[in-house]
Amino acid sequence: MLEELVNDVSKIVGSENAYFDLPTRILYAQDPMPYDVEERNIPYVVVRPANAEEVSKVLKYANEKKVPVHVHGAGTSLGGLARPKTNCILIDMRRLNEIKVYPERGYFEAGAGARVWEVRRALAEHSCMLPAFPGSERIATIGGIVATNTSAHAVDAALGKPGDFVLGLEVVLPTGEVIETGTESTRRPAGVELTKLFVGCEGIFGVITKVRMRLIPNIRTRNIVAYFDRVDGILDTVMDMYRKGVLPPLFFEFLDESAAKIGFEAVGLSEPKGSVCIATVHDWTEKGVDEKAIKFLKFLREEGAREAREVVDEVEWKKIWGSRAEVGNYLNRKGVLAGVEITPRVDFLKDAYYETKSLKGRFKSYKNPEFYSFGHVGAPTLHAEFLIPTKDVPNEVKKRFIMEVRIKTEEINAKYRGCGGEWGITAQRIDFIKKRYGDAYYELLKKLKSTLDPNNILNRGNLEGWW
Amino acid sequence: MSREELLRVLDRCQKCRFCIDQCPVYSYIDNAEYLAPYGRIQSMRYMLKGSYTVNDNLLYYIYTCLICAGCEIVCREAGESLEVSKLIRRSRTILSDALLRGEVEGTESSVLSYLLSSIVNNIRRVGDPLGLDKPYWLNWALSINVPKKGSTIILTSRMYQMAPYLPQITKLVDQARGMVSSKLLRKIITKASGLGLKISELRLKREIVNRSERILQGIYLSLTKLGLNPSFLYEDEPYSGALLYDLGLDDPLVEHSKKVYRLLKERDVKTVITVDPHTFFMLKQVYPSIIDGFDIEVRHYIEVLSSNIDVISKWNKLGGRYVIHDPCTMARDLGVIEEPRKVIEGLGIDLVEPEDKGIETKCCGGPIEYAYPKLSKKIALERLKRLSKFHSKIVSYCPICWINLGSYEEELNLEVRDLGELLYEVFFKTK
Repeated sequence: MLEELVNDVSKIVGSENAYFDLPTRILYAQDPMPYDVEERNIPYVVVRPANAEEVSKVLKYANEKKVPVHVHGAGTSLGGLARPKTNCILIDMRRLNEIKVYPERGYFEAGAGARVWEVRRALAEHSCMLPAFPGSERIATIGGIVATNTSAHAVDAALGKPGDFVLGLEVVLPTGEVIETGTESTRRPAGVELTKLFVGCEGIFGVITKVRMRLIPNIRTRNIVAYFDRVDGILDTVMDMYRKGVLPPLFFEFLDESAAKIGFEAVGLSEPKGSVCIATVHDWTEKGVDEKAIKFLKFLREEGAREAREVVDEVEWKKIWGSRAEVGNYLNRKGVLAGVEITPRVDFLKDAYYETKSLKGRFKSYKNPEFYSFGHVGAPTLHAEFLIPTKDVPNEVKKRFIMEVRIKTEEINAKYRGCGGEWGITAQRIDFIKKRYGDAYYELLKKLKSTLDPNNILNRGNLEGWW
Repeated sequence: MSREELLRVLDRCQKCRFCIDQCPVYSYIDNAEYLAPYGRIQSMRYMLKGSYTVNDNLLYYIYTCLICAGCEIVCREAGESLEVSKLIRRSRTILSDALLRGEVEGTESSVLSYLLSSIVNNIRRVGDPLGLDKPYWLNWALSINVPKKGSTIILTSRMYQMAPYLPQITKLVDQARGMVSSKLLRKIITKASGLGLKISELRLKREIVNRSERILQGIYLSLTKLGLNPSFLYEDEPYSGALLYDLGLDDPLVEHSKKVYRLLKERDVKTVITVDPHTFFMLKQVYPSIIDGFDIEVRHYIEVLSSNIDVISKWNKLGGRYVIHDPCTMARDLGVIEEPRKVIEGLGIDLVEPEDKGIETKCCGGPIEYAYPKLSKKIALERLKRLSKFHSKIVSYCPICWINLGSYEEELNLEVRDLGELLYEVFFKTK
């Protein structure tokens, strides 16, 4: 059977774009999850199609042979999305990377495999921006961004999610048909229209092969840092920002006391006393952004910031902004890290934070892991990081720990009425979906899936729940 | 570093994949992830964990690494700071043990075994990887009467002299890869003591040989204009062993470097002035880690020139405009970035900076030409394409970059010059 598969897929994509050797199959299956690939995750073959037509042929073939297909963007998902859940044909989307900017039409089109930085660079030539800010910018693909609908660091309420700018898509359905959705007008369709079904579907309902997005003129920004005695001050500030109708900044990050200490030390800044708030306000004019910065600084001071100031020195800003990434880097170096995203209803933010923190003493798979928190608090997203402070941990313990952290923190998301906002982690949170929305919702999802994908070919396992 | 220690370091890879676009082998030629740093690290890691044994594919992934360290910058930014080049070299040590013991089946392993054993044998036999039958590295010095004795020497390490032979020899290797069956190759390995080629068998481009000699003469003359008169070891001129280092051939490297050091001490050498990045790196950083009490002063001619910029700025001005290509070893391993710029601009040249410059320079593809000339060519062509966006005249200061990029200057209608050639022009005003 394997030999036949080898021959058949080679005919579709060309033998130079089909890989069967074990090292390649394993390394494509590996994702940033801290435990190794297992036999069941390893694809039978890795293919690199050049266009939607070849993707379509692969899917038609997979349906005929009843072989699952896994779609690989950049493989950077932190929540298990990038790891095949079963032996499969793995499609690497990288070769679909053409970018065309049409200023006269008010949009750009990009192949799903185009890197975020490549798209950003192409847009910059037309003084436009991309509304997505992943930490994995160097490698993340636009297809992955739209398939998870993540704005990453950005505060949704400030600019919106990528999906808000998607005008249309080219999609290969799980059964192999190629469809186009949306419009070529800058006026997004009202009423029933299928683009929204595929934006954020994590490849369950179809393979996005091309994205069309509205052009957004470049923004002006001002950078701000503020120090609070305690993390409570920042949490209260976020809640007040929404309650009082203060315009949210584009970026609104925080580092709790312990994270701030690590992050600032790593970038060579003196230790901040207390918690740190890092924000970037934006506007389309210099005057506008200056006004916003003044207002936001005033707001921070009124909320009790010990110090709140604009950072004009680029070197200093690079350090301050880099401090939050350095926390993750430090923790990853130190041991096994289970990171989560808590996105509560904003008026529950403080409760959610403390309940998450209290989990520390309640894990069974590993007693008393270290706790750190940082993230895009203005969104609100709390990245809670639970750390086993050693790398020397068996694979099984790592898996059990990560699973337990995920389950317990998703219970907090369910309790405080949130639903994540950044990572494609459906496969790890089926329990959450059932708990948060009920069985009828989950059954509807499954019906939709089986309607579009009767043989359950595409990204099998993501909707079943998997570890 | 033991296998266990290597695995422990490889385990630190966070699998973020941020490094992959940094690798020219991956990003310049639309390859798959196995030809990226991430892929190489994970391939080796899973092999060490026992998921598979050494095989042809793994060998291809590990030996196609350029050892250019471009990925290490990103790894640092991503917070892990893996020294990928060192890890690949260490991986090669492990793989070469298996290869040279004949434990691996397949075409790739046969070709690599053949190459590795030839390189080692040639270095043992005649002192450098080429294994040619006559000393080919003297002519440049004979015609300008470089002295034979002195405590300060110019150490060419035969690098610029070797360069004109490389395209011919790698062509032979490529032909062998296509024509010789795995069984036959293995047979050859057991018999072969080296490539053992005769100079007369190689069809050299005379102009390239002349240029390589002019490069060395230009460098040498510029040193004499500063009042230095380093000697040259002529027949005894040693090769540094840089290729042994890159290929992770540790035991032959130790043996060879000790031999070189012994020779230098016997000749009472106190200071060496190197002319290429690889020899400079070897003597400056690798030899002291191998040889206890290494006490020879190691300099590079560009450093010498840049510290005499007042003198240089009084020399004839060349004029013209060039885009600079920083050699990886010089920029990333040795941190020499400003000095060559100072010297080139001191010669009255209008220097253009490309997009990938300094510490972020991209490799020319040369380090894998010995075994993968087609892949190396693709990388060189892409690098040239990117450099030529800034200017059609390119200047560099490494024999590997010079020959590898220069091989395609006619094909792309570009001009690739070594700094040594420009120095030669300063004194002789001929191209």
